[in-house]
Amino acid sequence: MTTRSKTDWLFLAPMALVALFFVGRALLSQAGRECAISDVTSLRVAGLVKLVFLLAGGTIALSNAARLGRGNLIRPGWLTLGAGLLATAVGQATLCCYQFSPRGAAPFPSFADVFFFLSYPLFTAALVSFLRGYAATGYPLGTVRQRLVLGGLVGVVGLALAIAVLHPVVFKPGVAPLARFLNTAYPILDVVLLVPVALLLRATLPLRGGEVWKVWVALLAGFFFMWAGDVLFACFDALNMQGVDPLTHAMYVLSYGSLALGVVRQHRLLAS
Amino acid sequence: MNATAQLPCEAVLDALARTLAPYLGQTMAQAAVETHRQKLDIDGRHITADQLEALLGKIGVGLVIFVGRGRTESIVQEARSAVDALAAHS
Repeated sequence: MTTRSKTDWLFLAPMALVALFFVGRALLSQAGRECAISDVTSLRVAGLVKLVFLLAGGTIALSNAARLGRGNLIRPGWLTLGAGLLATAVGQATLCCYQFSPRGAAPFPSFADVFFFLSYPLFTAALVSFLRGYAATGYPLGTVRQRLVLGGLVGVVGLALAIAVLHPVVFKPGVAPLARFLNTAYPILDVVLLVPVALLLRATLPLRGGEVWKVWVALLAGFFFMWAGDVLFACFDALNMQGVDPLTHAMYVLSYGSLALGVVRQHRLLAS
Repeated sequence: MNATAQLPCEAVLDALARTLAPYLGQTMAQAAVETHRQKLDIDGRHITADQLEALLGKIGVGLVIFVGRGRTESIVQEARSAVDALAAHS
């Protein structure tokens, strides 16, 4: 096994283990059976794994920005991606404080949401910066017209899906206004995020098979899993669908792990 | 490749694409080389040293964005070595 694949497995193995554990938990819950490991313990383990991924991803993304040097067009992208991951890490650390307290679970909304909310404009700015930088490479990454059509299509389909999913969330009686706002805002912000994700996917698709493509597969998968996690969380919290809670954790672990993996792969490209 | 030497264009472009492929993938490596060849009006059967340098310069500008300056310099050097090896065999 090469050093390269060993580093990848350092992220892939915990991602797969924790995600599979939570999928198993969801299946047990569906079958009406109890898991041998308590809710509190599994929340704490998942919380720490997420925090490690976010801290690693955030700091290494900032290091990527530093290595690219001033004047590089995608340096601002790595800076804002790092800032977004670290803002999410602060939010996750706040959740961990609740989870490790005797109470054992975090309330929603909480102080953590300030940081989670803050991360969305940072992530969006990062993706837009990557898009602008890649357009300046002079490589054939798709025409402006193709980008407009794809971006519009993803935006419209994403919004239609968000409306379908969020309709019951918005109109359910008895939900606190801030919780209702956040449960609606997160998936909508994800749709905004999915537009540049789709455009970057289109732009980087011709790079498949190369080292640069491996960076993008991981980063874009991370944003996709984030969207899935936010949609599932909205269903869990606002519609009280207890069965999807473990899947929410699985999605966030996959999201943060994939983002960290993409950041580390870029670091390897810059470092070696 | 010295300043007055000329090499078969197709063989040089192939060598450049092969050098870029591990980083950009086969498809993009070929497309990037071809796009810049067209932009630089390199359309003869042979490529001159000046044309090669211009081509490497254009490819390097894009590569810096993907892989940074240090790695770009080593890839461009690798590409030059591949072309030199081609020149030695021709």
